Amino acid sequence: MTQRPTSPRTSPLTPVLTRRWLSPRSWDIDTYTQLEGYSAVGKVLVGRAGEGAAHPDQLIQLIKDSGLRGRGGAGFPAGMKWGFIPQDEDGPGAGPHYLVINADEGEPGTCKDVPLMMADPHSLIEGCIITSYAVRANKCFIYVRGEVLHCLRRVRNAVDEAYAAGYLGSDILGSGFDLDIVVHAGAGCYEAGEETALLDSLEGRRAQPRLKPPFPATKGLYSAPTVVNNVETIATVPYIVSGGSEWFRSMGTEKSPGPKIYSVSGHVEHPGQYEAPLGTTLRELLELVGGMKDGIPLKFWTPGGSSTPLLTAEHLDVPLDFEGAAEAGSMLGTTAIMVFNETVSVPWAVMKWTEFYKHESCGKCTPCREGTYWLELVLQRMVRHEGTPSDVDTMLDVCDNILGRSFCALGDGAASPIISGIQYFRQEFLDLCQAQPGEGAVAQPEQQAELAGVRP
Amino acid sequence: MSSTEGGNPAYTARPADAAQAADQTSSETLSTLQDPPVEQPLAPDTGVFDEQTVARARQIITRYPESRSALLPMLHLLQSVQGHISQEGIAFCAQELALSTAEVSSVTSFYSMYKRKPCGEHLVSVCTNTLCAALGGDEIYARLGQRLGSAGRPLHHEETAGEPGTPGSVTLEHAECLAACDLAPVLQVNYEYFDNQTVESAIEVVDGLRRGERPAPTRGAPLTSWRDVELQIAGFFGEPEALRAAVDAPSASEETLVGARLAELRGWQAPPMPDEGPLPPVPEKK
Repeated sequence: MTQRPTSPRTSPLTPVLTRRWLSPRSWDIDTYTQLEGYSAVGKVLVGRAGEGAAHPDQLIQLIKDSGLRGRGGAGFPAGMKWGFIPQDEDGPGAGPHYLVINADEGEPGTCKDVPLMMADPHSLIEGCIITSYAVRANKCFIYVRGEVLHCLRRVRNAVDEAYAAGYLGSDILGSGFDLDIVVHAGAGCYEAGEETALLDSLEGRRAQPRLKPPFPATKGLYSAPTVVNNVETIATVPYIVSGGSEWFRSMGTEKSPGPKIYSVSGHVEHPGQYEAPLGTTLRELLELVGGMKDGIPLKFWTPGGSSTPLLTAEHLDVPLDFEGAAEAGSMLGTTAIMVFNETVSVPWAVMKWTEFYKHESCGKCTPCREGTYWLELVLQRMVRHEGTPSDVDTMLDVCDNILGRSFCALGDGAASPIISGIQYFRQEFLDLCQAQPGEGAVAQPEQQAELAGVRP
Repeated sequence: MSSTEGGNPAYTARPADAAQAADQTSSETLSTLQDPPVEQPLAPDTGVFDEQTVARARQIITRYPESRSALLPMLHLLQSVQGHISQEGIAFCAQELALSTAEVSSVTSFYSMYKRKPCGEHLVSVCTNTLCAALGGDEIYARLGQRLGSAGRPLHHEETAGEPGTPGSVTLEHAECLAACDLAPVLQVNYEYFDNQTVESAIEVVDGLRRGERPAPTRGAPLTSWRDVELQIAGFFGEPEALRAAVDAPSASEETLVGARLAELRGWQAPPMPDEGPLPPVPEKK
């Protein structure tokens, strides 16, 4: 197992995004401005000590220098994404640009953006203003998941407050820069979290992914140049503007700098939101959360949501940054750490996740639509003790036809828990079969076996 | 598509407008005839929506550079009026946005928040995704189904106890991950969070709803009704004071703040920022 010395440079927790959360009415604009809020916007649009406004390209360079990587799961360098926006005034860059915030948090296990938007919505708004200025956008949409009503309220209220205070609208702070923000509610769909599907959804269509290229940077919302970023990514921007790229790099690792909100859930003593430098290990996080609940040992966990392959107790010292998680055969994802103890059956957990992916598959591409349908049936049969040992290979075969062959990452995500579950816990799947024909077990219907590609 | 062209006067179609309406689509003409042939279905009457709803729908359209973007919030708006997505609602959106009813229908059937059957006064959504399920969510969902159903016939997904829309009626659904895993198991009533539930506490919540009470969510504003919150999701939060009062309703749970508290307790901070974090020079154009 790869082990790198973890950074002793900082304290175990580094509250940056979460540092205002303990303040009374932290969501209020007065609280925000008292705690240095909107000073980064002032620095960008007005400048200090008469130096004038920053050039948008300076901001793109700043974010590139900081090494900020997208917090929505893929970890794409944010500055590079912004840099792809055509900047010319009479070629492809002519016409409107858009900034779209992906606040459609729905990856199982992920619960960081919802508390962030509830506790400190103005940091998101301030990030939107700076980012829009950098990518020359005058219209920004915040696509909030429909089911998180209280977030919608807080964000909408923050937008209203920002308009009233002159941080939004026309000629912001006398800079000549205009920005309007629209808070848009979704309608219940996991796939809308995929960035091109989100754009289709925002255009009033089914949330189905688009073929790439063209990428949103050149043809995004309404076919115009568009940046789509996650809530946490954009909420980080004002701090980088205030502290500079070197300060930001004083946390985390070289390729994955900065602080990150780790959401620890499941069988631990104190689940919750812990903001720590990237590269923190699960062993360190478990110390912070007070250990496993009731001392029952860890069995498996996800580093960043159900779409990131499972890890086990052997991976406690994997540095949880983009590189470390990948080296361990998983992905960092959204740092949604779901912890399961020995009481939980892996085939059952994998079945539940597969039911989710089957339900949320948008139906656009065949491998994902058909694959998740059959995987669910095979897993449900297995959990009913009606499976056969060859089902394990059948599932791997189906996953092989989904992974890398579906239209978007939802298919890859659907395959992840199954492949990794079998990789680490194959015997547990086989044990379910060996229990057959046990007490009350039902003979496997031959027709179903045939359809599933299983030869009894 | 521009927002000004989005509105179609046919929504007010009445017998006098029959001639114009007849040109539009074959399905729209029949509602205007005195004695429609029995074998043909009546066209949905989009005139069921009052002036305020029409005005709100058009206000939604003005938020967007292209009118079709208004479709999702507009469907939320219509649910707040009718308690579900009806054929009239689909026809209304199609007319306002210059879409076909098939295009609107395909969107309504895609998203889980659009209810095609009338919903109860309250909607109870129980997370049954893996983590909540492992901590009791499956059990909660099953027991609520029994509690709200009749003897030997538990309530299933998207079924309603009581007459939909009447006081105390409750629709039950299982939901996918509700983004509150640190507070598992969770449920929502009208999309307000009830965190860290047990079978007993969840039963208490639905029993209260059935009796016409409004139990307080752990995170979110005091309960009203599902239709009322659908109006908010469409972007209409009422007067500024109403929004402000709801905004200040509780949000922070111990789980949300536990990391920040621990850092405060131990005196852990991020490295101090320099007084003036420098900006890089303007890059040269290549």
